[in-house]
Amino acid sequence: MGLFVLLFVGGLYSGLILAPIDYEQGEAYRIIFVHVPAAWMSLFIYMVMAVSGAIALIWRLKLAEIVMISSAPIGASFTFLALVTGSIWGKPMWNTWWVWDARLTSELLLLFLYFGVMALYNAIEDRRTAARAVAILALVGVVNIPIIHYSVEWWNTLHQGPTVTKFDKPSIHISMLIPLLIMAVAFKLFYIGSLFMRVRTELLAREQKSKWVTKLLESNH
Amino acid sequence: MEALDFGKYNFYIWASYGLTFIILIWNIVIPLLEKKKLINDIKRRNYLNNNGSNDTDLDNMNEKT
Repeated sequence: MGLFVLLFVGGLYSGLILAPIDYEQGEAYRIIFVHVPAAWMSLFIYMVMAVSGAIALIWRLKLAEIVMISSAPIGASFTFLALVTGSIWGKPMWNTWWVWDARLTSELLLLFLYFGVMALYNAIEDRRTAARAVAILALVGVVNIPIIHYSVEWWNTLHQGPTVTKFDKPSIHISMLIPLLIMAVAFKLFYIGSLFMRVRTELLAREQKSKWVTKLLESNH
Repeated sequence: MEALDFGKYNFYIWASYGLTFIILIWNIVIPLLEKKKLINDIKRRNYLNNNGSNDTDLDNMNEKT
């Protein structure tokens, strides 16, 4: 978490102050330094969720279930952040808060998938049954991930094309790429920190009837 | 502070970064609150179990704690 704060402040500084003004979008492009890392995280966390869901289904690993379910609210919050910052960026650039184009719609669908995962988990009483149901939902939803990623290439959308994750040289200037990557790493570290907080709580909730939890809490107060 | 003046885009940029802060803080505060609530719940149940009285309902417990 300490490293996250360092990178986050560094990312803010280099993104807001050091990076030059964009010749086409002016100052407004600076939203990219939170928008794109948030969007990357929304996809990355979903993949973590789906992979741990698969592990939970195949090997019945409790920890995989816990990582999966603890990731959902964090992923949802980053998806929400990506959508709203995108909307705030869209207003001055496209003169509209929202369009139903492929990128935006598929990202919105991702948010609903996260909500679905959380709702489904809470709806089923037994945690292990719930985790299995959630894992299946998460795996089915994986189909949306490549759709989001390639939506700007497959369809003619208002959203700009990829500027970083192209196989040839990225078309973003290095002075803008560096703060972007710093922020991306900072967000990833933040996810790990926040995930661990949630994993610990979920683990405690599942083990609350076991003796070590009772003993731990008795010795603690 | 001139470097942090983004002209006509001030509102859009600060709204985005402000929301980012809120989301990050939310992701720390909510897990902390959930942890606190869970620990309180477990402690309360353990207290009930240790004191063995099945007729103690939760309303009475709240008054005691």
